[in-house]
Amino acid sequence: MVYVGFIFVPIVALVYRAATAESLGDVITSPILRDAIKVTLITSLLALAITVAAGTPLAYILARKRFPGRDLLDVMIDMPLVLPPVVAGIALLMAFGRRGILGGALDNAGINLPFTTAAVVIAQVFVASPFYIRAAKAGFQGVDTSLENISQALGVSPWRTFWKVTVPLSAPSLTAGLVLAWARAMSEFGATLLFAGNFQGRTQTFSLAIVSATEVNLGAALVLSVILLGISLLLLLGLYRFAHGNTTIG
Amino acid sequence: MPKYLLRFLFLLFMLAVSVACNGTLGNGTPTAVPSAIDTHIPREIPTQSPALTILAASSLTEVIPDIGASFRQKYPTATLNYSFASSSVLRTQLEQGAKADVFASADEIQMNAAVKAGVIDGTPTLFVKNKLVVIVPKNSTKVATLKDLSKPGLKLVLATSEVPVGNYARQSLTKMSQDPTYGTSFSDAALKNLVSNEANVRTVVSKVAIGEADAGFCYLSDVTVATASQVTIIPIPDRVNVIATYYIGVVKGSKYPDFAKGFIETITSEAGKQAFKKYNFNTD
Repeated sequence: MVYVGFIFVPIVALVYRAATAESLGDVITSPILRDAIKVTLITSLLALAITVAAGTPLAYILARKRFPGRDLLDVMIDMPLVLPPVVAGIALLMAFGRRGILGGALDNAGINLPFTTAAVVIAQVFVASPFYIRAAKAGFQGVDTSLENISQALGVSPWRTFWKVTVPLSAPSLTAGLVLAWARAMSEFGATLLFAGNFQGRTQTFSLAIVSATEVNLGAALVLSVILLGISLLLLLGLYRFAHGNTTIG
Repeated sequence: MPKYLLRFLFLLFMLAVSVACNGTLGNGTPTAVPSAIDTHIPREIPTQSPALTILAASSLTEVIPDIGASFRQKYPTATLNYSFASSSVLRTQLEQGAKADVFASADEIQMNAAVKAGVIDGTPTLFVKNKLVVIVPKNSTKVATLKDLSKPGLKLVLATSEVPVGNYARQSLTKMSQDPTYGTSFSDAALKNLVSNEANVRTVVSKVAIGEADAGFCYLSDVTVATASQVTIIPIPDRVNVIATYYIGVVKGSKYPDFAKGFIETITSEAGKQAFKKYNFNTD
């Protein structure tokens, strides 16, 4: 009970104070809100797509194969989870920044990442992908390999087996991973601020807009926070619905 | 065995990174500076060992603790806790009921807002001034003079317009536009190069120091010993400069108003002035 109260009271307080804030109307019609929604959705969805495309094979390999350095790889993938986001941002700058380790090579290729929308996506992939990879790996590990073997013995290709047997059986884990990764990507702040900066319509995501708003007017920040809360809730509910519809394999 | 060694080295490396960044970018977090003598004083007499919380603009990060040391010579039992952030953030925190004893703002606007909100006791004191400069990364050739700020494709960083230094920087750009040396379109052209609105002046300096940005506006005092080797200063002529005025006041509801006043007296004392001079502030 205490725990439930602990989680709910701040959220209720946020909603209550936002609903009574004077700036409600101003914020809803402001271009800052529109741009923040646009930037946040585009970047977080791209980050999620990259995470799934690159993370699924990796999670599968980690779950099924044994090879030298596997444990190390496992730890490396979890590193972003324990790094403070600000450190993640600095690490990204040191790697992909103009004077970073790969900065010269990127510059020669005509790529300049810091302060771009692409930098926001990179920061989100960096901090959010471990949530998906971890969950996907656990999901794949939970699938009975004999089912996969039977499927292949019956002449079904490994690729088709993966899609028709492994993925449906690990769907709850995959969905949970997706939800966590998406939520983390949308709320990402520290790494983005350092690596991508803060510019409306280009790199200013919802979290950055909220922090910027607290400098001027807490009411506006409250309203933005509640809108972010609402959008997240809707997206997550939708995703859960979708996932549950899919888990029941006829 | 080598696998564990590798893992250990990796973690060690990440630790080093996090320590390194705390050193160069760790602002905005409260820093507790406990008095060495504090431990010898019995805790039962709280009035004898006051703990003052000082909220101060980011640009005061080095100088205020320096002056705090002379304050503690006078009041050896006192403990000083500092919290540095942009003046606008600190003002918001005070309005939301943050417990503090002294508020030092980097401009008159934020201090006036705090007074208006009823969180300051008495009249704030102007205690120091500061000048704007443009900084560029050392060895960068992109910006040699102020006029270069309008060159297309440049990466300019400013503090957001709500933060005092961000506001001053925009005022200075507007002044430049009114000056025939730069031309009427100068400010617009320079602001087209703006790639990020930073939360406070110190992150502006960091982004220029690590070479991610080609230029930034900060106070002369922000080019500290730590960053001086990484940036080149381009002075802004007085006619297009904006002089920042810093105000300090006692926070309403302070538990130790007398000590808070004593702290402000130390700031405005001759020793305080010397410290400000050392950090390139303007004490005239």
